[in-house]
Amino acid sequence: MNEAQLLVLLKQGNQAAFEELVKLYSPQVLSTCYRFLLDQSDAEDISQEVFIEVFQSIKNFKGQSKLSTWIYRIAVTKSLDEIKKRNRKKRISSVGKLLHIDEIANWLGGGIRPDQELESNETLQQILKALDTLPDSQRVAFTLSKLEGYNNTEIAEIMNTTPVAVDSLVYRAKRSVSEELKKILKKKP
Amino acid sequence: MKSTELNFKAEELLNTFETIPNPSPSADWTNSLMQKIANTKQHKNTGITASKVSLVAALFILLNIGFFVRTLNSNSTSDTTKSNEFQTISNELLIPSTATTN
Repeated sequence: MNEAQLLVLLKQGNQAAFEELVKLYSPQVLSTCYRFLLDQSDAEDISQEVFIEVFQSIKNFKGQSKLSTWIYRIAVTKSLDEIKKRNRKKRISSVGKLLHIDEIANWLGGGIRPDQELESNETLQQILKALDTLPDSQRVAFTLSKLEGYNNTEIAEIMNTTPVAVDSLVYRAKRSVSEELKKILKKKP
Repeated sequence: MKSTELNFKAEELLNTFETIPNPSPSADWTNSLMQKIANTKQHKNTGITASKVSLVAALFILLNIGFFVRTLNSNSTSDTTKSNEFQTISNELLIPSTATTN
């Protein structure tokens, strides 16, 4: 079944077509979410949200881009939203800790959540910290460029920009992340 | 830490990021997704019923307002006719002031 046929069936609300779509795109969607979030459980939740959004909005998909591009764009947007939510929780939690109200801080931060799994993985934490300093466009271009299955043209389509711009964003992102990692490593006792 | 060492370690971290293995979804992932989608469908249907109920309620309120306005209008019309009748009777009963003067 090609993409056009799949799309027709999806727009008709065909359950089997949707299962086929999930089978086709879930590995790449999950990998994309994971590379942004560096947390398996969060990546699984967000990739489910991606497919729910696809299911709800497929009727509005006008076919101006490839179906895969559209799905990966949703995955990127949802992952960035999750990162923002996480950082907001971290900020609230750290304010609480400053005021010595740990229980409230924990509650406001949504339990033990922020990066609980990452506590054990210092390396990933350092990378996340460095990536957090990047503007969204650089973070997206850099992260996708490190993932198998995306070339510059595809990244450009997802980001609604040109492959040359993607090149430049990746270059600048790599330089900034490298500098930030050096700062983090310097601070380390 | 020396600058060369820092560069090396930063490069190493970047390489770690590049070589992170792709995860495979947990066994229940697809089932749980399909369940969530089924719930979304159900929610959508409930949404349609809710919108129908609110449409009927809005129609009912509009009809009531219409009825109320109509009643008000008919009251004021009958008031006007009544006052006209009273005017006629009083005109007939009252002796014009010119008749008493001599």
